[in-house]
Amino acid sequence: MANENEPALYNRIALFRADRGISRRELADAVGVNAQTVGYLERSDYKPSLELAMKIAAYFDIPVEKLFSFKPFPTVAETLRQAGETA
Amino acid sequence: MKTKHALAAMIAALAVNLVAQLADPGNGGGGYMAVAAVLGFLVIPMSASRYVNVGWGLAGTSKRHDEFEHNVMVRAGARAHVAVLLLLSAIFGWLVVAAQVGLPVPQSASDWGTVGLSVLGIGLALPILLAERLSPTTTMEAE
Repeated sequence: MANENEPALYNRIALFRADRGISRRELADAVGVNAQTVGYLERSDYKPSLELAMKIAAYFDIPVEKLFSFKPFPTVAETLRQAGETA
Repeated sequence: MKTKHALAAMIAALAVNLVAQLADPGNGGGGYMAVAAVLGFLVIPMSASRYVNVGWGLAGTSKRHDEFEHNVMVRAGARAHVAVLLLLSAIFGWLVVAAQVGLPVPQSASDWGTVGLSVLGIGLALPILLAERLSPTTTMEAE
């Protein structure tokens, strides 16, 4: 359902979900949506409302901009490489 | 068979019957009973869809939809609304033309009942079919 005329919205829901070791169903129940909707969000097939984005960010206890961005997030490998260069 | 394929097949059956009924009232299509049977079977794919609005807002009967489902249903409903208006315009346009040029038009209660039930079935199933089509395809791998 993503509109091609609108800017892409990238997210790191799958990354944080994997990090916390929770299932899509658990996250979906916590924020009050269907588990399939979490799948659509993770694959950027659907852009959430501000309310849902804030709920997900609050669930992971992180600022919403750490979870959603109009620019692609660096990959884990890139982040590790940058961390290695600065260390 | 997927829900959307079953819905598409039933809408096609209703549309074919509607056209046959309008082209040859009294003899065309499967008639009143066939349309009623298709409407009966329509309950099966409709009940399998998460976009069906059970109860249509009656207190305590509506299924709770999340924001994704709600958005899809609003978009699908708007498209279906336009499609049904175009269908009704086409039906009445045909009836006006048919009456003017002397072609047979529906006369009996059975004829009108068949036309009405066909439009009702299409109007009920089309928003759900469009909502199913608007949903991103979920692969086993993605799940």
